[in-house]
Amino acid sequence: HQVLRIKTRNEEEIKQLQLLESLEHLKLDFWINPSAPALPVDVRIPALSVQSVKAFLESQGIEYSILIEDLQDVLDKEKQDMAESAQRQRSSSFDFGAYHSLDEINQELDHLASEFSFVEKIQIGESYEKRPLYVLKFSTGGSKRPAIWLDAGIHSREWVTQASALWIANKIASDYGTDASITSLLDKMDLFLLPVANPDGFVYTHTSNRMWRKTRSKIPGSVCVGVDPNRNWDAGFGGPGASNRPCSDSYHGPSANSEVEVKSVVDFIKNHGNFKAFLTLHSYSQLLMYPYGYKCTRPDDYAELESLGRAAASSIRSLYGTTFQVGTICKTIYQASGGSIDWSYDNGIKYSFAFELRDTGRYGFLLPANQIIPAAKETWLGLKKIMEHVLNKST
Amino acid sequence: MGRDTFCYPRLLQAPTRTLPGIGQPQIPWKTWPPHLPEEGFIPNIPPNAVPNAIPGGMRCPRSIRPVPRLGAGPARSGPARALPAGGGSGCGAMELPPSHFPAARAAAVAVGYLRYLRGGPGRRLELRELRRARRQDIDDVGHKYYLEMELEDVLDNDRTVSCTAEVLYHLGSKTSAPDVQVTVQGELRSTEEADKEFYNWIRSLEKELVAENIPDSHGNIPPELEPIHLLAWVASGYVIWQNSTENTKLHLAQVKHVKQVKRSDEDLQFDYVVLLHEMVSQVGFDSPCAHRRCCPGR
Repeated sequence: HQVLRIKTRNEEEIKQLQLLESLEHLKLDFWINPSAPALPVDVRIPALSVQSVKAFLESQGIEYSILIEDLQDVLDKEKQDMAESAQRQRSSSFDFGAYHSLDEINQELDHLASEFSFVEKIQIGESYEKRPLYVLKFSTGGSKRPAIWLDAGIHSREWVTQASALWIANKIASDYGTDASITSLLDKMDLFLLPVANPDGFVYTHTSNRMWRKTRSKIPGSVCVGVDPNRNWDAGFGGPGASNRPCSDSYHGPSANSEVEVKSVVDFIKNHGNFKAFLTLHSYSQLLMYPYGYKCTRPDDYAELESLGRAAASSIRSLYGTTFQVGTICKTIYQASGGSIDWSYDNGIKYSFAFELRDTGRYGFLLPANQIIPAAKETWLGLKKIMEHVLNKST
Repeated sequence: MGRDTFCYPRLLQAPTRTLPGIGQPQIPWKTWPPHLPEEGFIPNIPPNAVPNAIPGGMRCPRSIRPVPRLGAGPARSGPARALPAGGGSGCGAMELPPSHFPAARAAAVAVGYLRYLRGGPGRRLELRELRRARRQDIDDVGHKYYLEMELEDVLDNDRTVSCTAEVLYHLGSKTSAPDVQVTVQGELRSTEEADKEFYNWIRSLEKELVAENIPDSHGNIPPELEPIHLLAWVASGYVIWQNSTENTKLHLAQVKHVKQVKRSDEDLQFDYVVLLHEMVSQVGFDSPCAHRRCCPGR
């Protein structure tokens, strides 16, 4: 169907158009009726009649122009636009490119769980201040399938990590069924994602101190609060690179797993018994690291982990050119005992990696929100590379 | 350390400060370095200053004239003075993987020092890549790092600039800052225009400038405060250089507070409290520094 705009110059031409209007077999649909010479006349003409109407107008010397070449096209596009907008509406007005409060994040977790049948929100424990520790379980079936663990925000000030975890959750959920990689992954394996591993600290960064890193647990005999949750795992606990002073930002805590945030994850993973990968997000520095941190010797699987790390870093770089350095924790950043991936590795989870996301110090922890989605996208490519390898080796 | 990362006493009030797990480094303020950057901008961090005291000593030159540098200096024209390959001052140096921390820490010191020397309200220098690093253990002296770096002059369309540096950590370096030499290959784009603009803007303000939390929690910096932020990088470049050891890697985390200090002359003065983040111990500490900006282009 075409829509023509007809410019009449005089009463005579108006009469001609009114004649046209009366010819019902043409099935003309006048959007603007012929009335006065000064006003344009818009008419929708069914495909079959287009030729004859144009011929008529030309023979009468009546000027016209094509307003809409192909109405169907326009209608189709509009339908598509509406569907997309509805989709956007439906997928909530959650802005993945902004920083959110804990409540907003939890709401979005609920939303994802309700929108996707294979996504479930489960609670694996409670923080020191009694906030629930929510994990999204991605599972398309089976029973205790081999699983991948991913957490973010164990250090609360590293805001790009919780934000990226949300984007990644949405990405995985949305692309299951269309993205070959995600589909084959979730068809065989389960994914457990803990976006806010340290909710008490996270709330504290919003309400009181943006630079807070630790948990918020009270320490007997000290005025200082909080334990570094990534020095609290049972892997070389209390060794070099962790402080025994409660007031330190890298205080390891009174004992391994003293922090409920850590213990909850440990218990969950042990009880599950079938985790194949343990991935954790930190910021900043742009690093991709594997064990060990508590000692400077290479893990048994050094060659494979180094190679996989490099492949993942390469994937990350392919998107925006962001470079991640690859290596063991001890060599790359510092010797640090009681870290999570050392624990997971020593407990049989071979594919244990820690990411340090953007940037390299320009903004550090205070990464501008407009970098969240780029950071999430590139990180996702690295994670995907690792997950594909894990899938390969685990099934 | 107190309840949170800000609890450390201000450096100037507590002459000694302990970084957990690292020992007892002392942070004395150094005497003023003997060389001047050739642009009109001179950061002035006085020894043993009390906040708000008008620093004595170095004044800004009224005219900008090249001053011979001691030790460090950009190549003014033609090829730079490159570090000798192999023999000479690199002799006996061990190659280091640039991705590993010892090299990265030395590079952070070199970049901090360079920002202090060459940074300004109109110039932002970032380390794009550490290409090569070597370390030489010098008996009875300390550890010397030889670095080859690629920097970005961000406000000059991210133009890359090659740069070599030597960082010497003195043995038992509890009391002295590392010695740093930096050589920039080629010219950095002049910031005279931007400096003048900044200077005039500040002079045009009705009241002395005061600002805090740059960037804010969400990483935002109002565009007009970007030069103030860049100045903070200059000041913290100095502090980072002065307070670094082989076991630390310091970054500017945030400008907590900046206040312009009223002056009777035409110089600009800003007092900053900057929050520095130490990567290894994860300590954050406040470091107040005074900062003086000279009349540009005169």
